[in-house]
Amino acid sequence: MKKLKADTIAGLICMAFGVFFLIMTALNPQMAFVATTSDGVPGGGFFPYILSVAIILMGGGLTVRGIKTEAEQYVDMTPENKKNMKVLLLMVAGLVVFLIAWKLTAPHFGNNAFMACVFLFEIYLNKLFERSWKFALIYAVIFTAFIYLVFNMGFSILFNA
Amino acid sequence: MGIGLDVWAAGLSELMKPSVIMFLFLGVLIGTMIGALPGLSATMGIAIMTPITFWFDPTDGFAMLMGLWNAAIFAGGITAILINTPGTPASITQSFDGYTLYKRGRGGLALGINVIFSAIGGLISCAALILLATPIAKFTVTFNSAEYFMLALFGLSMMVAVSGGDVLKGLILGLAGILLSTIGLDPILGIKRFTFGNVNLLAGISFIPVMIGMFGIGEVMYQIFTRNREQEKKDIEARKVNLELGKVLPDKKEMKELLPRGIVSAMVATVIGAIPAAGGDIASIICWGNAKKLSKHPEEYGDGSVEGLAVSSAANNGVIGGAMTTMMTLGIPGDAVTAILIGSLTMYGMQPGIKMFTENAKFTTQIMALMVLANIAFLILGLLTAKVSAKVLNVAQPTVWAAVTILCVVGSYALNNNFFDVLIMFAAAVLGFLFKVYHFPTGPFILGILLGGMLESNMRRALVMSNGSYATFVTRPVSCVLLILVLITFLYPMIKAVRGKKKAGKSEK
Repeated sequence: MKKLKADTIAGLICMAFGVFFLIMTALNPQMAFVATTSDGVPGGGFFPYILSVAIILMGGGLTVRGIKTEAEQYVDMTPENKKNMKVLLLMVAGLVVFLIAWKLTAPHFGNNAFMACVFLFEIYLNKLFERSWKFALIYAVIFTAFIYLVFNMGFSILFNA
Repeated sequence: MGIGLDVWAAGLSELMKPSVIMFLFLGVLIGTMIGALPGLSATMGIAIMTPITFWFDPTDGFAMLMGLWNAAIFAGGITAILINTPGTPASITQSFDGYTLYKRGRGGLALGINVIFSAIGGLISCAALILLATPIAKFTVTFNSAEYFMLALFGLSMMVAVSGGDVLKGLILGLAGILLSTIGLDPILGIKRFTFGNVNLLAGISFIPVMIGMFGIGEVMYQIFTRNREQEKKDIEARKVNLELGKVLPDKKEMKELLPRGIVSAMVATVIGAIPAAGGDIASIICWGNAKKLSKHPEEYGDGSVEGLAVSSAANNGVIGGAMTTMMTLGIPGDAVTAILIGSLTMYGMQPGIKMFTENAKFTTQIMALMVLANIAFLILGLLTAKVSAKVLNVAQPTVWAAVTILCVVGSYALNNNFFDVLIMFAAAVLGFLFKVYHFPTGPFILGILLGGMLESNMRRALVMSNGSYATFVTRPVSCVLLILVLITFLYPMIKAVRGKKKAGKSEK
């Protein structure tokens, strides 16, 4: 059974996060550890330096702990979980496509493009969640109308990105 | 300084507008539905509704949020009683006794006790808020940067306490939150930090989109990932069963017996609520556990005890006033909802803390009064609809997921009409999901992002004023006391964990 090994990967990600911010801080000459304008007072880099180093060290600790505790696991990839994972990935992918479509179409077609995207995305989500076509269509119509009435008509918000 | 009667009168007179009452009841209605639907929490509801309320008058907006929050917490008990599934984490102990009562044909009484004692708990905590907020705010007049730095550090040290047993992960996320709060313009020198040439990052990472992402889509993603279709089927079957509910209102004798315990529970919960990051779940477990120890009938607790249910109900709503007191007077969030409310007040141009009792005193009185009105509103609505509340539960999870996903996108965009906020929300959603999967507590991360700015700016300001002398943090009495509290909070769980490991090692040998 494939299992998600937790703390080792998480610890490494934390370390990478800390290293990234440490390098970014070091590369910016304005972000000094001590302020150049007044003696002994922390500069703009004081917090980022301390925090990123602390995160690297603690991330290292978490990695070591993850390696030591061999039996540690967080998710059993059961057949149901695999199916859930597939739905989840498709949902996230759908959301990404929705955001890209909105960003690309809204400058040309304005708010109507967003409403069309919402309508299609709602149908997609409902089908992904194993609802019937009839339910998905009715849901999408009602929900799109709700968004239009509340946000467009009610609050005068235009979703032209 | 202090809020005079004239300010109260001016504040209350504005609440008499029909729009305020309408939005309050609308909030209560939405909150009841959110609380009664498993999988939707008060935090998620507040996160999604906050951007919408920005388009209202601040009083109308807060009327809706206060109604929603108070009602969602009480309504979490409805599912706990009817299908043994807490609607919100705060209602976990209500399922211990409420569901057994329902199975015994006393579901109506259980629902009635839930409404009445939630309102009592809420009202007592509101009284504490009204009575204590002004003196605490007065006390903070003497605070300068050193005290505010220590206060922020104390709030952050609580992240150790709420790390769910994993101190290391809590600390990492707390520090990561503070690190992310440094993005944008430096608070003292005005230099750009980690903005990567993006103008959207100059003002830092918007807090509310982060909350919407984490508690909205992030939560939906986690629910999809952990979906259990067999359990869903069982739940649907359980919802179809409509057992006899019986009477809703407790009689005089029952009320007389339950009231003292409910009041004590509410008072304890108020104190717990005032502790940063200690939420309704912690309060209700502590209150229920202690009430059991002190009860004349401890054997009934967990097996359909009306007293146990009353204590739990009073505790979960009792937390709210305490959390609001800390938030409004010190600017430290008592829980995730108050964290969003801080962001909300900031967007209205208000700063939680002393200024809420001077420059914005009228609005502060309105918030306090709205809290009281929200409790009265859900008491009325809850009692009137107790027997039909079960119908709310017949909404399937996927229906909610599809709605929440779009509302999160729309809400995060509507904040500033900015697509970048949607991207922040999406990134926070993915992070929130991963945190849950890998058992990282989200509380410290939220506290870090929210209090990071306060921590850094006040520390550096204090050092500028003291010419770089760190002694300023120990020579000022309040700052020194707070430092001791911080050290205790940080060190106690670590010492406890080390001792626990040593003990476990000895017993293995």
